[in-house]
Amino acid sequence: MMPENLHETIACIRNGDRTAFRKLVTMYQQPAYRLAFRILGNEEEARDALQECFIKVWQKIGSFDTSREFVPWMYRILANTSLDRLRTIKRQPTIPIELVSQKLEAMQQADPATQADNQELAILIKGIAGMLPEKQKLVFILRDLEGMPSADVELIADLTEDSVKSNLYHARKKVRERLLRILEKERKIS
Amino acid sequence: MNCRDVIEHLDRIIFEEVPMDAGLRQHIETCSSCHQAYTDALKARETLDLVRRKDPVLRDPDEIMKNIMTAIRQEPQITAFVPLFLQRMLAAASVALFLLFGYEQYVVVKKVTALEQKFSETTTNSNYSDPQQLSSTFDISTAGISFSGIGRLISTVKGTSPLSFSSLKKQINQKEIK
Repeated sequence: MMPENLHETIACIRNGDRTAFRKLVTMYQQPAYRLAFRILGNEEEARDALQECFIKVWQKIGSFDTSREFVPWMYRILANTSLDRLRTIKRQPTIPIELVSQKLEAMQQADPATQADNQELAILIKGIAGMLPEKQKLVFILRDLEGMPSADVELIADLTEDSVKSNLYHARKKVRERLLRILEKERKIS
Repeated sequence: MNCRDVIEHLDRIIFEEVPMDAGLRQHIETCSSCHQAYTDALKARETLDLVRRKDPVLRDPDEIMKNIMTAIRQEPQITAFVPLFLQRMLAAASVALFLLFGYEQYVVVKKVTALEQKFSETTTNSNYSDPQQLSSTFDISTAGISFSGIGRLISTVKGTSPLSFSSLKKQINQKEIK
């Protein structure tokens, strides 16, 4: 169930309350941006996807079924918006293992308390999951990076339980192979 | 636990962060290749953890907020809640109606063309002075269309040369006006 204040906020937004909508944007813009960034692997595209998503939420909130969970509904809009953008981005070359390995080392050595450099993080995410097909990528990001429960992944990705399992299985297999190649490269360098 | 079980277990170690069980521990202590695979899995898990922990920095969130708030002033909200099953039903009904009327239109056009052609052939090959004969020769049922009053219309035209159905109608109209 939704937290009571979120429930109220949504009720206000459905009545056209812009202040309540501002509150909602403040509440969710960082986690929503993180998801868009992980899907797109690009700062500017993620910013645009975030804005587009919240505008769509404002437009469509009247059609939101209040008996359901709000966050998966919003994330579904965000995931679709991000995937649409991903399709329009020109095909990008695969990030070389050496570069991923370098960035990984730099991040490991950095102070854990410091904020990540977006550029480095984008290279790392694209290096690990960039080669995955659309559905596998979405399921992997939602389940293994965002740590969402399978039921939410099904709602956001609009997939059945079996389909989520199958996509996750294939995604993990590819990510594991990629990670092991990165680690092997790291070992050779050191 | 054997080597195959360990490999199957590795995904859970990397992605689900499950702790090592006693069987796995016992096996990797004696099997060097599985020990290496397990060590690699732990490192892979660390890499994923690093990616999980690091949030991308949202620069200038105020600008994003401003853009969103400006945009929504011009965007109307969709107020009506239409359940998904109803949306799908309406979409299906639209498609069904489109197909039905599209097909009907196609059938009518086809029949009128056939009718027109048949009439044209009939008037080219024969010189009918008897309107009744013309009407009966012009077998409407063969063309497969019910066109009320067509016999009456045709019978008003006598000794026609090859002409199309539309020009025939035009002539009829002119006669009726007179």
